[in-house]
Amino acid sequence: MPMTPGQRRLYSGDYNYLHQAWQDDGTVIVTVSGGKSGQVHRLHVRDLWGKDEEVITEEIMPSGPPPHIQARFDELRRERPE
Amino acid sequence: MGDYPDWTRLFYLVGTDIVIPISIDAATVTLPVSIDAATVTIDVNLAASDVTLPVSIDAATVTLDVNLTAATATIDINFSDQSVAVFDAAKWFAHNAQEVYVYGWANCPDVTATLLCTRVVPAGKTFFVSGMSVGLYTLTDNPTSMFLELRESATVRVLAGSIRGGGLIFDTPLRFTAGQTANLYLRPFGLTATRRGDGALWGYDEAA
Repeated sequence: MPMTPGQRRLYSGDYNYLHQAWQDDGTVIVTVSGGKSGQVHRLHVRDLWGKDEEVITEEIMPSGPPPHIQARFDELRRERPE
Repeated sequence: MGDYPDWTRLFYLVGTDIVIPISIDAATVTLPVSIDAATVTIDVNLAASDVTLPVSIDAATVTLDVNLTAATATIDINFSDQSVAVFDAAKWFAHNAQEVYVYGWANCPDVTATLLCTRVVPAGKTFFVSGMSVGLYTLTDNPTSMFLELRESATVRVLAGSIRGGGLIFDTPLRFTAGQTANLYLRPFGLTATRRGDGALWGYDEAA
């Protein structure tokens, strides 16, 4: 089975932060952030690093400042003289 | 040195505009500067309203080696331009995704070693672990002891004991090579129930 984009990040090392929340069933919710991709991947993984590693779900989380902060940044940028 | 006569050529130029073009058109250009003397002084003093010193190197491979061997060496680099940046190691690690923080939590039963966080070192990297920390999420329990175990797969490399948790900075980083697994385990003693334990390990990657 081909690796997911989040798995590829785990094994390529394109991240600064690796967060893990271990569930009682032995699965783990992994959040990968930082690095050059600029994205935050959240993966629910069974058998992490194991022979039968399986990504149950994977999503890309919003990254960067919250929308209302970003809107203020954008306003500043528009006002900035060329 | 051979027995040659002293040789001095003075360039003394006076003019309103002085231009000294050097244009070399050749398949191979070699401009060696070799100075063998008891004392060497090369002063470059530029005083002008605008100074431009472009250095453009276009090559498949570029090597710029600066080797200083001296009793004392002073290097001053001053930039007063916000478009110029010099990264120190920590910022460069972050910029290059080399600075690595691994954090995790798990529900930890008494006496059992429970995995808090883990990392397989990516391909082509060497992971240097420079610190680790742990804490226990409880208001009421008073554990009598804790083991924080940093393992390479199943083998304990570093063990830190504590009562309430804490952190440890390694003055010599632990080295994990590509494909090895760095595992952080917490083994609490004296809990009355399973409690959440949080732990982290951190360090940096270098190209293997």
